[in-house]
Amino acid sequence: MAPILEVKGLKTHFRTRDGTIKAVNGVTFDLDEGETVGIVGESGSGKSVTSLSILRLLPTPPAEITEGEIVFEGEDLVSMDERELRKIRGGKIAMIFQDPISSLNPVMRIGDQLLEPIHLHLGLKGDVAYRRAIELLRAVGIPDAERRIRGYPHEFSGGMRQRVMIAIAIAANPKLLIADEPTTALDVTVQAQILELIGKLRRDMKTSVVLITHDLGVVAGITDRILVMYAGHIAERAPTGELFENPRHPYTLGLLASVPRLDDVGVNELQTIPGAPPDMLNPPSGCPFQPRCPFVIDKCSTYPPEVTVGPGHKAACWVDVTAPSEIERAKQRGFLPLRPVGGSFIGETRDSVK
Amino acid sequence: MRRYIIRRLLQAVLILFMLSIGLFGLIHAIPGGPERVYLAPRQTAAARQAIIHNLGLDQPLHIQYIKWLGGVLHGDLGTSFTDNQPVSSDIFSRFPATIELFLSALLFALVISIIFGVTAATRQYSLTDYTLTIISYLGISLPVFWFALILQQIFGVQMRMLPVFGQSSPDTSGFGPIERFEDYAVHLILPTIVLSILFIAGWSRYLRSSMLDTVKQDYIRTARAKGLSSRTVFFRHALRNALIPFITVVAIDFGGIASGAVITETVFAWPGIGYLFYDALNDRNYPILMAMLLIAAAFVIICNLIADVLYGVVDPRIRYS
Amino acid sequence: MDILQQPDAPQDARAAALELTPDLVRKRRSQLRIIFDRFVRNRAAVVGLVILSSIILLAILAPILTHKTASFDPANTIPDNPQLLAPPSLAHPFGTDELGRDSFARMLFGAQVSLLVGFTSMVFAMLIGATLGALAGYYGGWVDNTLMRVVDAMLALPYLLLLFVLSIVFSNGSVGSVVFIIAILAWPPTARIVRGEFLSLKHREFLLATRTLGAGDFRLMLRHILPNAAGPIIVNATLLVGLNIINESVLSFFGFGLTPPQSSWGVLLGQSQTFFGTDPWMLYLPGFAILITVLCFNLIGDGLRDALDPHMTQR
Repeated sequence: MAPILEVKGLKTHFRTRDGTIKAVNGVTFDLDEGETVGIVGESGSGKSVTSLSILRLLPTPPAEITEGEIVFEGEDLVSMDERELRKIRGGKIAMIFQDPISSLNPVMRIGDQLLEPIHLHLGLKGDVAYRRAIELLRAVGIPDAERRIRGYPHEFSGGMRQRVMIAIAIAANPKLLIADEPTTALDVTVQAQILELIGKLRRDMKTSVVLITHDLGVVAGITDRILVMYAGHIAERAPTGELFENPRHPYTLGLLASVPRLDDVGVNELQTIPGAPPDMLNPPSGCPFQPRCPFVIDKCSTYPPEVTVGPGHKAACWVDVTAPSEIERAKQRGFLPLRPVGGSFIGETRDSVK
Repeated sequence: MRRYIIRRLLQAVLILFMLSIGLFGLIHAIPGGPERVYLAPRQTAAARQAIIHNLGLDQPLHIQYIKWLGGVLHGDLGTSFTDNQPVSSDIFSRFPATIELFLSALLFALVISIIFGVTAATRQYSLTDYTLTIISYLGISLPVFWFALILQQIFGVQMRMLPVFGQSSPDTSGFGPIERFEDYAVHLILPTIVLSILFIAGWSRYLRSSMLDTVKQDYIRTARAKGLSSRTVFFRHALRNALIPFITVVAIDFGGIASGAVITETVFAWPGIGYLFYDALNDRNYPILMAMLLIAAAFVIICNLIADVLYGVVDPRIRYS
Repeated sequence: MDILQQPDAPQDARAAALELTPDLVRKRRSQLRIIFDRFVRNRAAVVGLVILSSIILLAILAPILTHKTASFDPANTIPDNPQLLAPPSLAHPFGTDELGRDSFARMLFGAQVSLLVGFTSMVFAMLIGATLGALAGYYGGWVDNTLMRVVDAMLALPYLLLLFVLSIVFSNGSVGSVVFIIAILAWPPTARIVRGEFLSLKHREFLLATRTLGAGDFRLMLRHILPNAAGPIIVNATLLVGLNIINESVLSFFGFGLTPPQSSWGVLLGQSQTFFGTDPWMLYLPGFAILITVLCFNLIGDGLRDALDPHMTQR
């Protein structure tokens, strides 16, 4: 299948008074039609900047895409002018943001905000558009949509607001949906509902999804593939199951050790990655993870190439983290290998049951 | 909402009552009372006493106050010392001119400050932005009466383009309706500019920073992600939110317009209540001063209340109880 | 976790409340350094400071700068064979007035008075405002209620109306009376700032610790709360000097403030009215001097606000 989105060598930099922040520093990935890819990383890893770069929603200055291409349906979004880009934004590519409280205009009725993309991208007007808006609200699970459409954002709960955001995003049947931490600001129970909704819409509408999160538990259930980002680079990429079963980058190992698992009570101690995320103004040269990495070797002072370690599985690391000798060496620096446990990660079960 | 307004109005009455006591004492403490103003030179002490007695100024202060308050409660603001007319009729005859000037200045200040504020915000850090910043700093630092004199000097004395005194030409008997309107309009130009200059300087700055705060909000990004044009994003999403705090600032500032009105009307001999106040000050015309100060205070309080109510009207999140 | 740290907390608070340790002094000094650096980075404020310093210097040096044109106080001395209303020349850079006095000299001596009124009325307003605000914020209750109602009532009156009324009650045309009038009108904002600062800091633990150590109320207020409120007070004071200079000029221009032969910028503007059509420079110059001076105070005040407020984003 032809990829619907190809990001090639993307570099997005922020020029600040104190220096240049290379938030995204050479990211390449693609996305097939109907596929769901998760981008995982800590805050500051560049995952959100990557997603905002796709629709070119970052304010310039200070942000600037200095290199790379973002090819969507054969057209490069980076070189596209603002007018063409507007047709794609909210039309073929739509976005859902992290905080549904601040992401909706507080002084506009929900209906008016939802009607904007319907007018703009579907060309519907009057009653037809209004009926479509109500349909959308129903589709995202808002009860009593005929009445709630006249409400203001502050009259909705956090989860309901995120549903409204999703309704706005899917209003024009987008080919690609980018969800930037869609559940981070929500209660745990609501998180599951929203993820379920995104999963359902993805299947019904055959939309490709890029799901950005810092929480591996969130992506486990609904993504086909996962990209792990660290300090503006992709550290590891693999099909979802493969990544959880056979992680090959020290950073991914750390991430996995820091995710609580329902079936893992008493088997593994919950760990945190030692050290702090790199100062993006002065990142370490070479592999940015090396100051925190238990597997670090001399070679790490140059950035490692991505190595294919399995089907669809690549990791940017000089060290083979599965080699017993390397594990022994890392243990001496405080590394605690994860013991295998039965079952799967939170979230994964939910989707596989259906 | 209604209960909120009623409560606020009751508070306002209380403040006005307290003010009236303080001001009454203050005004009657003015040295060289009104009798000196009305006394022809070299008149006898007896004549002086007669004037004081006629004005009721020989009674104890609290009796004078109670009399005054009783009158006010019956809608009688007292009698002007200078022309023996009821204070209310003196003030009301001056009202139209002042309201004309207020509305003209409000409209002008709003239009210009919104244009300036939005322009500066959309072109942040551009030459236009810097120029507008400098203009507003100059406006804030300007002695308004001097600005009025400069305008009179330039447009009246040197260029002879605009009239610098009064509300209309002295003799308009030969004018048709259009000429009469034109005459009024040209007389209004300079006073309007002078009265609005401080507002323009302050409001345009405020709207600029309010706009810049707004465009950083997440919902602006959402609007852009929908594919809306920057015009639509700006005017439908950003401006509306930026105007909410702006409107309250406008209402509150406008409450203090009486200060500017006294200066503007005096310098331009504009026959409104500001000029009346200036005359009353010089004549030690106590009843007029009392009435005008309380009206001005009531206006400030009402504008503050309007600011609060407007905030609730334009921002759906606010509900008063 | 909070509970675990509790035993240490009072100790910290006590240390902070005790006399300034060398360490604290150093910290405070470096804080000043940061504020200074931030202020210096604001070009407009620095330009304002430079221009204002020159104006103040000119005012102070007025007797020396102008001694050639006349005897000791040329501002008020009418020369023997006066040139009336002379245009600007080398001898008289700003020309002469209707009595033949040097306009430049009168401007400089006017600057002395205008600046003096601006500064002293600011100082008095600050003293009144800080004292009343501190009392209201510290004692609360009826003291607070009464003072704040007075503030409400004063703020309910348009500024200038009250200024005029106060001036016909209290002014006798002297500098002192004008300073008094401007100051008793200008204190409410300061009182509000100080009161707010007191309310927010009153319950902080280091103050409680000081109180248990037996510090008196007055000492407590002065030494520990006022320095914390210093930022907004300083900004307010700076802006107030400019405002006061304008107020003096308004009063004097409308005949309620200083009167000739005293010379302030406001008085000069009042006198210029007579020569409105013939000698516009007498109108332009004093007003321009006020404009520039007040502008400097506003620029410096805003610069200080940005430098002192850590929450301000960089411009």
